[in-house]
Amino acid sequence: MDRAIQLRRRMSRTNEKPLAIAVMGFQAACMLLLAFKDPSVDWFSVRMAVLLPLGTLTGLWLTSKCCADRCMFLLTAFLCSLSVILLRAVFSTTGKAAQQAQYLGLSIPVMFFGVLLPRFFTGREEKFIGFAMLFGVCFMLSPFAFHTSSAARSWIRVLGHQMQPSELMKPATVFILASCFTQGRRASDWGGGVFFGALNCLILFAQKDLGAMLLYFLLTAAMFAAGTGRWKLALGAVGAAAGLAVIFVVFIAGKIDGFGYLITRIEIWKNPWSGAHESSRQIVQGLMSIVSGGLFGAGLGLSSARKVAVVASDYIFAAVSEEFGIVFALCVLAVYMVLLIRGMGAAGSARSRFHALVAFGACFELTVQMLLIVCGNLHIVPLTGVTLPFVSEGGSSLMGSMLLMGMMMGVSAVNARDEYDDLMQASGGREVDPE
Amino acid sequence: MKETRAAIRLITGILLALVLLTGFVYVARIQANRVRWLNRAQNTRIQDARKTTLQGTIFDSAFTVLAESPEPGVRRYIQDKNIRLALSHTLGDQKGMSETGVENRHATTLLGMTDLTGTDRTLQTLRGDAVAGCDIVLTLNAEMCAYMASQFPSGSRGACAVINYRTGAILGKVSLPGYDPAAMDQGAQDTAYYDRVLQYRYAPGSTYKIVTLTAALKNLPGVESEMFDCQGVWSFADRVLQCAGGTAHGSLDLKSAFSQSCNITFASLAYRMGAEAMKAASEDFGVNVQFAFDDIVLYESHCLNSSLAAGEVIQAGFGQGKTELTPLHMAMIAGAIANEGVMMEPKLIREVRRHAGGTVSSMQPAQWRTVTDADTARTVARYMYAAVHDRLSTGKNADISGYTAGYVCGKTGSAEVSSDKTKATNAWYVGFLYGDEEHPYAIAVVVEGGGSGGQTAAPIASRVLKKAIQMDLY
Ligand SMILES: [Zn+2]
Repeated sequence: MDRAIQLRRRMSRTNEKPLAIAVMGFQAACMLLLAFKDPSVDWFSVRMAVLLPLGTLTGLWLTSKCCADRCMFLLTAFLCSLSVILLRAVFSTTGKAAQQAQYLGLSIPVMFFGVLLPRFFTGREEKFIGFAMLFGVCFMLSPFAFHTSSAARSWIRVLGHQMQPSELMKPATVFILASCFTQGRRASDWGGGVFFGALNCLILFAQKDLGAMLLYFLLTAAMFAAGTGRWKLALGAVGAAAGLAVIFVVFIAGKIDGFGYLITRIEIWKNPWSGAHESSRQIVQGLMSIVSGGLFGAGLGLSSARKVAVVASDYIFAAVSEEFGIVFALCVLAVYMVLLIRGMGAAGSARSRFHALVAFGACFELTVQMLLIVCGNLHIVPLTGVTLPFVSEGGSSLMGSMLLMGMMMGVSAVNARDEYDDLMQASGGREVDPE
Repeated sequence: MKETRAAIRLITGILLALVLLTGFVYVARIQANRVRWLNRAQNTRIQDARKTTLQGTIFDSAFTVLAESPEPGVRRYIQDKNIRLALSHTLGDQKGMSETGVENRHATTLLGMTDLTGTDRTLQTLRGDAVAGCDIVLTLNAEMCAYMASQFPSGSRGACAVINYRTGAILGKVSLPGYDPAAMDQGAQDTAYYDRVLQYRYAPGSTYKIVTLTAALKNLPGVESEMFDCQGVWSFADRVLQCAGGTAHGSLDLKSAFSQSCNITFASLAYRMGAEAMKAASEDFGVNVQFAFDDIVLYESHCLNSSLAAGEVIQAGFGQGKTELTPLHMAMIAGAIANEGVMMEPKLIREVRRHAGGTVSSMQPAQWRTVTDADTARTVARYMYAAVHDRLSTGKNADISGYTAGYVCGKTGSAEVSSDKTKATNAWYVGFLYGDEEHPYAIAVVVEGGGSGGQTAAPIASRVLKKAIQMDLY
C-alpha cells in the first residue's frame, strides 16, 4: 500500500523541493527584515518568520498525504503569506497582520476539508442538491435579517466577527452548479442551476453588492457553457446582461433610491484627477501608489501605501506594487497564471464532468476575481469591491478562496488516483514505476 | 465530456490572454503615466521626501540660480523680487499652490525620485552625500520674464509668452498678477495662483482669424481673388453683428479684410465653410485636443466642441462665442505659421543634471503636429505681415523700429468678454519674426480689459521682442 501512495504522489508530477525552499525562504526573509527594521525588535514578525514556513511545511506534508497538487499548494501558501507580510509592512502596528495570520491558521483546515470534498461527493452529489440550494439561498439572504448596518447590506455578524455570506457561498455555488450542469443538455436538466444562479444574482443586486453579482453571473454563465456545451445560449445571456447593465446605468439607476451613487461613482471613475469628489481621492492615491514603487519597490515597510484608503483589501495590489515594485508585481500575476494553468489542467484531465466542472468553476472564479481587482486598481475598470484572492485582508474572503483552492487540489488528487488505477489495470496488477 | 474539455480549454485560453494583457497594461500604464501621476499636489510622498532629500537647483537659460536648497527642507529663491513675481507660476512653490510650476510639475525630478537610476543612488550613498535630487535648467531667461512683466500697464492682469518656433523652447512667459513663492504665508490675490499662460482660456477674438484664414485658403479655392462687402453691420437670425464699432469697411479683398480685421468678412467665410470644416481646421491647430506634453501642463483649448449651430460657427470665425484658447496655444499657432506649418512641442526644460555633475537628459525638439501645408503657411504669414504694415492695418504698433533682420508679422485682437458693450475688451496680439533664423520668435500677449489690441497689446509685443532680440535669446 505504501508503494501505491508513493506512485500516486508521483502522479501529481511536481518536483516541489526548489519551489518549497523558495517560498519558505521568502516568508522567513521578509518577516525577519520586518522584525529588525526598527530599533526595537518586533516579536510578532519574529514569530511569523518561524510560523509561516512551518505552516507551509505542514501543509505540504498534508497535501502530499492527500496526493494533491503540491505546486498549487505552495503557490497558494506564497500568496497567503504575502498577505501577512504586506499587512505588517504597510501598517505601523501589528493588528491587521496578526488578525490575518489567525485567519490564515484557521483557513488551512478549511482548505484540506475542501481537498476531501470532490472525492466525497463523487456519485452522490445529486442527493444533496435540493438541500444545498435551499440552504445556500437562505444563507445569501441572511444579511437582510442580520445586517450590521444599512451601509453594508452584504455582511452579517457571527460570534463577534463580520462575515460576508457571498464570499463563503462561492465554493458551495461551484459545487451546486457543477452538479446541476452535469446532467445533460435539456432545459429540464440545467434549469435548476440557471435558476439558482439567477436567484443569487438577484439577491446580491438587492444587497447592492454589484461586484459580487458580476462574479456570480460570470461564474454561472461559464459553468453553464462548459457543462452543457450550449455556447450560444451562454454568450447570449452575457450579451443581454451587458445590455441590461448599460440600460440600467444610463436610464434607471439615477431614478432609483439608493442607486444614485452608481452614477457618481462612474463620473468619478471617468475623471478622478479633477478631485471634485472626496472618493476620487482613493483612485488618485491608488494610482500614485502603484507608480511610486518603480522597478524594485520602495523597500519592505518603507512605502507610503497606507495613504490609500482601504489599502488592505481593495487596494492591496497597489501596496504590492509600491512595496515590492513592478518586477515582483508581475511575478505575482505570473503566480496567478500558473495557478490558472494547473487548476484548469486538473479540470481538463478529470474523468467525470462533475469533477471537471468543480475544478473549472473554482479556478475561473479565483482568476476572474483577481482580474477584476487588478484592473480596478489600475483604473481600467471601475473598482467593484471584490478582493484579491488570498492576499486581501479579510476572513470570509480568505476562507472562501482557500476552500475553492482546496477543491481544485481535491480534483487533482482524484485525477492522480484515477491515473494510478489506469496504470494498475494496464500492467495487469503488477506494480510499475511510471518513470 | 469532450465538449466540456473543449470549453475548458477555450475559457482557459481567454483567461490566460486576459492575465497576460493585464500584465502588459500594468507595465504600459506605469511607463506612460509615472511622472504625470507622481507630480501632483495630492502626492504627499513629495512633501515627505522634501524633508530628507536635497532638492535640486533650478537655473534659467543663463544659469542664474532661481531656486536652491542649501539643506534638506529649506528652499531659497532668487533675491530679486521682480524676477520672483514674474516667475512665480513658472517656478511654482513648495506648497503646491500653482500645480503647473516646475517645483510641482517636476518635483520628482528635483527630488531624484524619477530621473535617477539605482546606480546613481547607490553612488550617492557610498560617497556619504545627502540624498540629492536633480538640477533643472530651464529654457527661459529670468531677466526677460521680469522685463515682460514690467511692460504691462501697472496693476493689470494678463499673460505673455515668447517661444522659439523652430525648437518649441519657451524663452519667456509671465502671468499677471504673480505671487511670491518666498512669502507664501502672505497669501495672494484671488486668481494669482493660476498660470494665465497655461491655465486660462481666453476668447481669442480677431487673433483667431489666423485659423479662419488658413481654413478658408484650404476650403474655398479662389477666395484670395474674391471681393467682400462690409456694411458695418450684418443681421443674422436674431442677432446683429457689428464690425469694429459699426464702421463700414466697404468693398475689400481678403488681405485687406484680414489686415483691417473685418469681422463680417470672416464671419461670412466661416459660415460658407460650415461648422465641420471650421471645426476640423481648428482641430488641425490643436484646438479640442488634450495636450499631453512632457514639460508643461497646458489646458485644452476649445472651439465648436459643444454646439455646431450656425450662430456659433459665425462667431468662431472671429474667435468669439464659445471659442477659447490659452495664450501659450495662441503663441504656438503663430509659431506654426512661421515654421512652415509645423507646430513644435513646447519645451521648458533645457537640461536635467545630476547634483554632482553630468547630464541626465537634455531637450530634444519634437514636432507636435502639422497644422497646414508650407505654401498655405507662407500665404498666411504674408497676410500677417500686411496686418502689421499695411496703411490701414490694425497692428502697426507691433512693428519694431530699427529692426531689419526679419519681418514682423502678427494679428491683433480685441476680444469681447461679455455681451455688455461697455465692458472693456481683452487686448490681444499674436505674431512672430519671419525670416530671421537667429531670432525665430513667436509671441502672444493678452491684457485683460486692455481695450484695443492694436493700442495696448501690440506695443507690448514690440518692446518684448525687441528686448529678446537685444538679449539674443535662442
Ligand atoms: Zn468690416
